[in-house]
Amino acid sequence: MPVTVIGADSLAASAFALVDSGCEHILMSQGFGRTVGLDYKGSQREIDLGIGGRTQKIRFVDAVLRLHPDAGDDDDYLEWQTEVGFVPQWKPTFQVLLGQVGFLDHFTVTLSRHAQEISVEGLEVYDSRFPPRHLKS
Amino acid sequence: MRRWFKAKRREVCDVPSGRQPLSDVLRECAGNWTAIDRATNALVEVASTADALVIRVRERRLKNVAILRAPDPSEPELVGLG
Repeated sequence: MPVTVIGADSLAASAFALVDSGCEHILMSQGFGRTVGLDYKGSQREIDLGIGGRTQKIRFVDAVLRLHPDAGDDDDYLEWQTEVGFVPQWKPTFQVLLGQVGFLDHFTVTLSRHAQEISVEGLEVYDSRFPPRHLKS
Repeated sequence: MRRWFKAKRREVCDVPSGRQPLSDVLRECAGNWTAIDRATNALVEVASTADALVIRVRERRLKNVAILRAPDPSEPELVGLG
C-alpha cells in the first residue's frame, strides 16, 4: 500500500510499503530516507535487528507519515508521527515496511488477498467487531 | 465446513475496476525504478536509479504517485525484508 513520508523542510515522497505483522518496527531504506532529508546518521537511537539471517545496526528517527484514501490525491490524507528505522543494503522492491509499533498499534488493519484489498480503520473498529468480554453484557 | 467456505467465496477475484494489475505494469520495466499513479496503477515515470527517479518526479511536479522498484525476473522472491 502507498505511504507518504514527510522529512526535513516538509520534503515529501510517496512509496509503496509492505504491511508486515512480523516486524516490530516501521523501517525504510536509507536511500528513501535521504530523498526526504531525514537525518538518521546523527541519531543516538540505535538497535541491532536480525534481517536476512544477519544482524544490522538500525538507527531510528521520528518522521511524519501519511496515508491517502483509495484513489485519493496528495492533499487528502491522514497523518501521524512515529519512529522510523533506516536499513542499509535494502533489497526489497518496496521502500517502506509498516510493522507493529507505529502502524499496527495505531490502526485496525484488515487484509484480504481474495478481495485484493487492504482496509485501514480506527483502533475502535476492532472492539466494535469483537467486543471485549467486559463490554459484552 | 469446506462446503460452507466455498459457498461464501466470491465468483471472481479481480483487481478493482479502473486499476491495472500492478504486476503487469512492473513487468514492462523490470529492473528499473518506477513512479506509479496511486489511483490507476498507471506507469508515470521510469528511471534506472532511485535518485534519478525522485529528481524527475520533483522536476515534473508529479502528484499522486508512489515509488516502487520493478523486480528483475532473475531476482529471488523475498519474504519480508529478505
